[in-house]
Amino acid sequence: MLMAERITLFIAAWVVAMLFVTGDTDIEAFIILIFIGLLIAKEFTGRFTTIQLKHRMNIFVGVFFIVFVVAIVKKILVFINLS
Amino acid sequence: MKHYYSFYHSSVRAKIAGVILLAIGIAFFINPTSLNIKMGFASILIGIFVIFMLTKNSVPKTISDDQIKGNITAVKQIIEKLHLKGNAVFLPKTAPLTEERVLIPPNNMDVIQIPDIADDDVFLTRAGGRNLGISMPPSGLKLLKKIEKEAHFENTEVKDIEDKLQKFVGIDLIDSLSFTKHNNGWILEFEKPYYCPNDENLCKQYPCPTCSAILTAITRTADGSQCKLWIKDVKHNGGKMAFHLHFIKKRTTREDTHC
Repeated sequence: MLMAERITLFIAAWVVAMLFVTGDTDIEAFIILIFIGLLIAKEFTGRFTTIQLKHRMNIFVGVFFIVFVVAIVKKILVFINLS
Repeated sequence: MKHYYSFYHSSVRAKIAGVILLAIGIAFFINPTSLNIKMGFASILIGIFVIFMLTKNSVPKTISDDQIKGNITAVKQIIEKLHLKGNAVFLPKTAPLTEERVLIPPNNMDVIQIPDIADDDVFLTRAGGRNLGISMPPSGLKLLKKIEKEAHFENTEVKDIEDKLQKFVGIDLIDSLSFTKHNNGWILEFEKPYYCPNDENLCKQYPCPTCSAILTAITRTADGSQCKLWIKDVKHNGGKMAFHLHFIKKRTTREDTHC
């Protein structure tokens, strides 16, 4: 199995697992857990992957990082408004 | 030039699967409950991931195998016709050599005569016409140069080379690899490459491109020194293969003169 296929399979399995873990809760936790999965996949496969594959992974990580930051900012704003 | 797309091509199948997942994901948003939104998002994400990650366009294996097989058969015939029985010695880039070479000596005696070899030397003889074997560029040299755009093997100590060799796993040439010290030598063990001639004698004398690229990378740890990488033995064991390697000095393979 190719490295790209292994990574894709891991991410797909991770997303499905996190879907079951988070159940009916809000989508932000689900997205953050997917982001963690992406980081795990990137970190553990770093030395095995080609530059092109790393670039593609980085795009996904970058997008999810932005979403992660937005989610955190939203939570902070909610917290500030509450207090 | 015409491009042909076949359903049997893995990247085409991946794109079809990705589009189906995207469609399923969008369908979940028709009835946007909390769970449906998450399932739709998951489906779309996996779909995008499948489309963008599995984009490898490749030559069908049978065709690429045949391309390698032709060259390997030609070299095998040259070795047979010249009655060369010795195991390969990988010579590092040490003056006057500007690139690595593979020396195939005439026999496997304890004393291997390694003459000073220049880049242009192929048939090696001593004064008096005694055959000292042939010297050829490693079949994996071009492949290694390609890989070296991403990972450099020069100026690496032999104890650190195993980590760098994992690049061969990363670019899907082999599935796993280990390089460990064993007595005075080293054992390089890995799962057979996608093309393997399954011929232990040929592996000992002129390894095929993937194995040759790995061995040339290991040889780079001896750059500038008088040490050469000698294939002592090769063992095939099911899906795995092991090269028993020794770094030897200029003229001998006897244990007391190992590097």
